[in-house]
Amino acid sequence: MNTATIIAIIAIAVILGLAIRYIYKEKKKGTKCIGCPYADSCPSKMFDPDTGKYRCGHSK
Amino acid sequence: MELTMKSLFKADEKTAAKETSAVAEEKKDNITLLDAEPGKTYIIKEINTEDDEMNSFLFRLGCYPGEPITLISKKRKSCIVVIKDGRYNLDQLLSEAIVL
Amino acid sequence: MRIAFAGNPNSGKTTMYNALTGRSEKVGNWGGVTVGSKEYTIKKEIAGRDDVIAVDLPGAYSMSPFTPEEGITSEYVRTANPDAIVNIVDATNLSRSLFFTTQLLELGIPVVVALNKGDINEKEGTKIDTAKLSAKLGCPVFDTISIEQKGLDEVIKTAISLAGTTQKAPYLQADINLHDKAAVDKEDRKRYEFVNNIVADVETRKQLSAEATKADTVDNVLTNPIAGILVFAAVMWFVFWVSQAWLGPLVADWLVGWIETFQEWVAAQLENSPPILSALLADGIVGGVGAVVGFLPLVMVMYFLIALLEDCGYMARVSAVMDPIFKRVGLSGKSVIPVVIGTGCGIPAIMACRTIRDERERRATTMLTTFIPCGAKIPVIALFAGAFFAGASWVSLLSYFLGLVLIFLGALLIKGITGYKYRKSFFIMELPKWKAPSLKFAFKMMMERARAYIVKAATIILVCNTVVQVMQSFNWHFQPVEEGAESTSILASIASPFAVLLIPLGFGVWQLAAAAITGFIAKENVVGTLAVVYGLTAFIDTEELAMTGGANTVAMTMGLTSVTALAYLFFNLYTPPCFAAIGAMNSEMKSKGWLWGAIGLQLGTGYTIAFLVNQFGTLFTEGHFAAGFVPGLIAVLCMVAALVLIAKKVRAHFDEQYELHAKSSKEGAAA
Repeated sequence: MNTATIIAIIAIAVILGLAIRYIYKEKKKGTKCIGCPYADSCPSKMFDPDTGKYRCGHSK
Repeated sequence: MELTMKSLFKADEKTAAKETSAVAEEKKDNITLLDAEPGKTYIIKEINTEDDEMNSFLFRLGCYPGEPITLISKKRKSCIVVIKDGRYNLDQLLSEAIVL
Repeated sequence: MRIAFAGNPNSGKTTMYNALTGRSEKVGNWGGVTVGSKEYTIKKEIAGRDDVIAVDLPGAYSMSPFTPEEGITSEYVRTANPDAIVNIVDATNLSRSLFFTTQLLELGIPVVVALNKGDINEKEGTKIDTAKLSAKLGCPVFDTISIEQKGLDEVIKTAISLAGTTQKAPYLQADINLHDKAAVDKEDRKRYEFVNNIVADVETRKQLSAEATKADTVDNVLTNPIAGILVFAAVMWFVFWVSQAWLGPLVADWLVGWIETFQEWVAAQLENSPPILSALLADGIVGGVGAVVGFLPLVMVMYFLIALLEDCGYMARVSAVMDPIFKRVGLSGKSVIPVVIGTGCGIPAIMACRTIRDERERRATTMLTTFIPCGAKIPVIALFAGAFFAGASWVSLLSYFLGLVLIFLGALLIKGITGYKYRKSFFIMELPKWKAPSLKFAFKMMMERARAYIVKAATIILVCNTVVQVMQSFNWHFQPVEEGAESTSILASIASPFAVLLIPLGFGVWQLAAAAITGFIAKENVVGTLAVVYGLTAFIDTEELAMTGGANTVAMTMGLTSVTALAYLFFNLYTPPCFAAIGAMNSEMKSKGWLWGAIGLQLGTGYTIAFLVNQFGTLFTEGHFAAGFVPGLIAVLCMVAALVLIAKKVRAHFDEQYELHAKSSKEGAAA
């Protein structure tokens, strides 16, 4: 195993790790579409299936 | 005409209403927006959308009997009007529902 | 502490909210851009403290909602108890705006009035006596210009200082039975009278609003049924031409060169490493993501131009000119707004459907709006236009207008299925004043979208590409796939069954099927996956295009003719959108039946369009039908049969319901 290989393995691990962590964090926040600038006002996030109404954000 | 329009936006509304309704009365019969002449200001006599919610929506825009409405331009299926200080595009159905 | 922003549509609430919080929520020069509430902390240097939260609400004309998004506003100010309300008043239409203001003043929550758009008034010579207005309303009034961020500090500071106090109302509604329509009407009339008196007292106008202006002449042309539509087509063509045939590719060419150099460098470093590593890093991650990022300039230029269009006030005119056509197929002019927003992204387009009042029209629009190619589909279009049609901009224009045609046809179909009886559908659209679009704002919008695009490419698309690369490199025994035995890979064996279904469409190979499937996660993935499975990165190469005129490496590698390429492109464009958009559809439609109907319709449409393009295209170019004509035809006929069955079922149900309605209304009348 040469240095390039080791660097490549580390690079892949770091890049994938960061990407997955970001997706995971966004999903936890309730974002449906990663990177979407409208994510905060996305209906799939604001919609409350219990009441069938849109939450106004104040119930956070 | 200019006199009428100026007075519409000046303080005394009652005289304005009188003057403009005189313009509309010249035509004797009730006409809808579709038959109106572009560039003229009319006083709304009646609104018949047969839809209470639509009526009250128009009301909140300031479009209700007794209020002035100005026709800016007219197409085959729509028209542009001035209600209060805003310009709106109305479709045929709505134009027909507004009686002057 | 929470400060709510309320006011009439298009009075500049979101612009003010953006200025105060530093956010960049969507704004545009027409009523109904904001369709949900948003909240964020106000900058400390403005508020003087860091616990003040601004809540941006959709525009409303009054406390009694007419469309769903107006309901969000009235419900919020009524039930959420904000500490103060900033009422943004459009100073150019004081007489209408104050109606809502007087209602807000009755709530008891301290109100600060921000008299916005003072710049337009100044130009038109309209003067408003702020001090007098403040005295009449019994609340502070400030002149503001939210696009220039003028006067905002005072508004917020005053609102903060008033929090906790009780607002005294200048006009109180009499104690009436709210179910008595006549009484409510009378009360509302009185309120308007009160407002009219105030306006007459505080406002002096030089230019009467009823006077015809130059802008009216322009509007006259733009709302003309023939000229208006021609102008719209020309404007859209210009947007596509600049973004996808001229300026966009110019920048993209340069960017792709760098990405390619970088990829080669990475590959060179890994020469002595195991091939799987090189494949994963150089081809999968750098190549796949690079292929998607390469299209960034095209997408950015398009967003820039769309932002200019949205900012100047043209959208309201488009909506007005399209109304008669849309109405003919059972939609309304309001459906145009989602369609236009859909050019950027399907999700806000689906949300924008909330401004449509009629439920059937709203659901139908939600279902159909994603036929318009969104920003994420731009790379897919550009890839095929570049590789097979020498980068022609007519490909995007065709995709766009075919999308529109599909919306019309789809709407007719829905009209037929739901047995839609003629019902009065009114259309009223405020034509906002024209405004010179702000380059700064458009640039900001563009950068925002670019950031989002890069984030998406570096996360979702990167992970997907890696997974695709791994699935392509290994077989089910987790042994590396040998050269020449690519069809034994995990990816190939999963995608092959789907590929069989696609044979009648002209692209029944597992690579293309896999790319179409990953497209459901995000449409840019189609490009990423194609890059990975075919080992290509440089999809944009203007020099090569000029030399080979279409029959270049990309086209050769994929083994598609221009007919099958077009079929594949349309298939990707008109099948269901990404999962996120489907999720948005689900929550907006609030009906599983409609959602599945939508997905089924979109799948069917994509399949049928691709089938027709491939079979008839081949017939014209080669004189015979393409492979799989009969099975494809059977599949399409099955879909039609399913449609007819559903239509029958729905109609029977509809008639039943209709009868019930008639019965209950008769009973109601009798009572």
